[in-house]
Amino acid sequence: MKLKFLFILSFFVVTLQAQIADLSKLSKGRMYSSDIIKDSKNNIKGYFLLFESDKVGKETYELQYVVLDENLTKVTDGYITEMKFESWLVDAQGVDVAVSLHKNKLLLRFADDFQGQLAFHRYRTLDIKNNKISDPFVFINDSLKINPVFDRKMSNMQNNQSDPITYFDGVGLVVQSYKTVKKKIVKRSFVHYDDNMKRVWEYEYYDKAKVDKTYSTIDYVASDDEVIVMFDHMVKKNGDYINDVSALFLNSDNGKLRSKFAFPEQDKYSYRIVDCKLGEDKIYIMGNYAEDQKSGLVNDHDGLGIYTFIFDKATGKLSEKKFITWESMSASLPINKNGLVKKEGYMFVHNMLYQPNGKVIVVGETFENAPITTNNMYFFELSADFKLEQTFEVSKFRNKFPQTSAYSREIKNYGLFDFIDYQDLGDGEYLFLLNDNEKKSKNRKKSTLYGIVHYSDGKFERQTLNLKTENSSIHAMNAKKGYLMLYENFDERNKSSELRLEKVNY
Amino acid sequence: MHHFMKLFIKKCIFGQKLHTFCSPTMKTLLTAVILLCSTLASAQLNFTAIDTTASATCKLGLEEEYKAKFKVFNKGVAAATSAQKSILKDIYSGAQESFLERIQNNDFICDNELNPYLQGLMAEILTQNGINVKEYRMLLSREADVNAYNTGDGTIVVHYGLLNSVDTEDELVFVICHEVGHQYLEHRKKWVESIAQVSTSEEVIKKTREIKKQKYGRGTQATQFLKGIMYQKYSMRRQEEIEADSIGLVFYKKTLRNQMAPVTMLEKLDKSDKEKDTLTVADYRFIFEKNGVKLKDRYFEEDETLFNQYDKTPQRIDVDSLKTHPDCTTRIALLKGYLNNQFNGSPKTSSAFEKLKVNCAYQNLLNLYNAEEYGFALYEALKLYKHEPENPFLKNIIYITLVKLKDSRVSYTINRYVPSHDKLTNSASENRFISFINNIKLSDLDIIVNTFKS
Repeated sequence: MKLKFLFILSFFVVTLQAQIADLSKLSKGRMYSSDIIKDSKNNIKGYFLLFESDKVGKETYELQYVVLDENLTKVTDGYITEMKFESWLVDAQGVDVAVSLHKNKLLLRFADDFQGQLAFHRYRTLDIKNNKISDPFVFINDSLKINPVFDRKMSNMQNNQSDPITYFDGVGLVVQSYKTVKKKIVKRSFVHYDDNMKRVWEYEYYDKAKVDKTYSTIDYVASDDEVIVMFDHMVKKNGDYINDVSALFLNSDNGKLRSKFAFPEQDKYSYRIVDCKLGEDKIYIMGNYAEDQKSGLVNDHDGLGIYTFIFDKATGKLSEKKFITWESMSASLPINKNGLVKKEGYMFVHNMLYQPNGKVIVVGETFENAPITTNNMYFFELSADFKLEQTFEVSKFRNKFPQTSAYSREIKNYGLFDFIDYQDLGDGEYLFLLNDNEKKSKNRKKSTLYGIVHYSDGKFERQTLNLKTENSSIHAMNAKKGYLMLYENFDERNKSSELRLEKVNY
Repeated sequence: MHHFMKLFIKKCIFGQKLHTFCSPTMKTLLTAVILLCSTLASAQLNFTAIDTTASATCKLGLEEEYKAKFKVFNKGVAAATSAQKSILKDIYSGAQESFLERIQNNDFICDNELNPYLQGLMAEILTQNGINVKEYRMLLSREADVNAYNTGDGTIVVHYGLLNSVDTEDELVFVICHEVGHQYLEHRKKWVESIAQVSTSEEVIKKTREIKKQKYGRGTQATQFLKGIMYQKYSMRRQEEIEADSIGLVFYKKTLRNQMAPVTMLEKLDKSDKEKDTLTVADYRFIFEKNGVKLKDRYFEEDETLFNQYDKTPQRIDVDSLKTHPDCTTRIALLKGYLNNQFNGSPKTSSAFEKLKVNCAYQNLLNLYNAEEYGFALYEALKLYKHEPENPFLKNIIYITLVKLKDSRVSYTINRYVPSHDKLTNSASENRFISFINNIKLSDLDIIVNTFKS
């Protein structure tokens, strides 16, 4: 903010490196990857960037990491040594990083990046109290190894790649362990380690030796310091999913199964969990359901509606279940019983946000699988008794990707929906961000509009940011709470690009 | 990888020009600025703003003058090898282009009273020291940074912000002496030549070849080698600053001015990071809670950051070795040593300086406004206004900056004019201002704008 006191600077600035071009070129690194640091409320708290700074040995690189806070102020930087697969046949293009946050620590997942395919996962932590980065560690065959020795041999893949490790909110570091007990006998479990890397508990959920026809595959849903919620989907011996899904509730302190909830009437319905809210004494699992599929997966074309199951937090027992069908919403939008909105496509549910007053905000976007097409967005406000109170339609440009085909979850993973993200402003107030290409535009790059939907006190308000300019192109991205990040690139060659943090007006 | 993160390697540039447009608001604003610049002389303030039209006219003359000057200068550029000469030309032409651009951008003030006054101060130094006055030229830049520099061709540039920060004419004279010292010792010329020499030296060429031949660790070795050169060069610059202080003091002594002024100037520099005044929530309430406006607590709130510790210095860089200037305490001690702690001479001042000091706080606000530093202009104006709530000039400058900032909020460009929160370098008061101007509801801002308009 303050103007710098540059008193008696006597020269034009001369960049020394620029005059020693070769040396400078040799000393420059390149960016590998980056990730956003988000808190448990989905708000952006910082950024982690990873650069290659030098090749220091065979398949071995020195990398520089930089941590920025939510205002893009540099917090710290440092150097680490990491391997990257290289062979006469194929090279990893870079090292990918993914960051998760728990209390005062960041868990950093590094992986070799083969054009988007990730392999050789390994981990470090960064303590934000003192900005110290840990040695690398992996979890292989039921054993946590600090500073492991890698050889990057394809034939030795299993000793070069860690089992997945992640932070569970309110719990800390948890490994999804695959343990080979004997030949062809594998045990699967979740193993929790404390900050000192000491094993605290293990929840074992699959022992192949004991399996007859089916076994569990378990995904993390949500957690706090009391309970961990998991989604268990049974799989046949041949790996095919079957219509047998349940929610598991584990104690956060000892990993013991508190209770198991089998989703109801699975001979009629398939279920997908969209969001889960952990309250003081209740657990709210929210999602969409569809006509029964043998696989138990929700078919995009067979949707029926959305649901909320409410559980007692202490016991994990179901206390209430609520459903609302797409068909029952047809008075407020032209939607049929399978969630098909006339001339737009099927309803995809991005988020279901449980409000302190019991209301649920549902964020939906219509789409087609083939060719992949995304259309208007819908915001539904459901009352505490799960009745539709209001529908807020956000019409936007129809984005079509010719000669493509994908399931909705893949469209979401590829980032092809126009919904960008939401910000939880607190007290039941939200910002929803979306992008929207302007209709009939000759130059869509310069005419992208950004939509913001603000929800507060039961009111949805849409504003369109007309960021169109004649001499630049602007991209909008999610940023810290209440802000957007705008990147403006000017046509004028010598004009520097701008990266701006702009407060959203609401 | 998130696509947008690639963008982070480019840092935000503030202060870009607004797209020109002329809305009714703009017309009102233009009227307000004109009124501000012309009528305040008749108000109780006795403030006369610098005539910007004169600056616009004289830029043509300046451009011609410097084009001719650079032509002559470039003819005289000589070097031991053609490679070195090419580097010298490259550096000089880049610097000259940027200087001409600044003239084009109206960065230099042409004022019938100020320019001759400053030229006079410099002439006093040069004459007293037997230096040819014709070889030197004094320019006044409208920038608010507290700064002065010499361009190596005899031009000394003083920022308007420097005039605002000095308390005595003697302090200003010492700064000019220091810059004359740089020019007298040809520091800039020597620096540029040393860059050309090192860039083409056998040692660098040989080392570069060696590093290129390495299979591994090329980046580290190149960085280390470059760092060594840079540390050496910056050490040279720090030494040159001490030399400029030393010879500057010799020049200064001949003016028979107060010999304590060099010390007080450097002490000021040492304390420059500390804000002299701040704005509290109570100040904002006192200033803005009129006509039904009630400022909400959340306007001043900023989300708590995740991070506790900001590492001020980058890893592997010895920041002290990259300083262009020695520490002020070192410089003060050296100056005192040169003077044997005997501070002779008597304070001198002039009516021109006294008039300048009356005007410069206000003129600085106008300069900030003209440089599109609306956020900074408003912040500084509010700090003055809280002590002088009846001051018409301050009311007006607050009004016109608020209009600009409100428009930029609406068009999502406010971050061009008001920087982001910065927990590392901003004061709590500065971050509070940033929260306030970003968080205040536009409807409340509208009422405030109207209050100040009236």
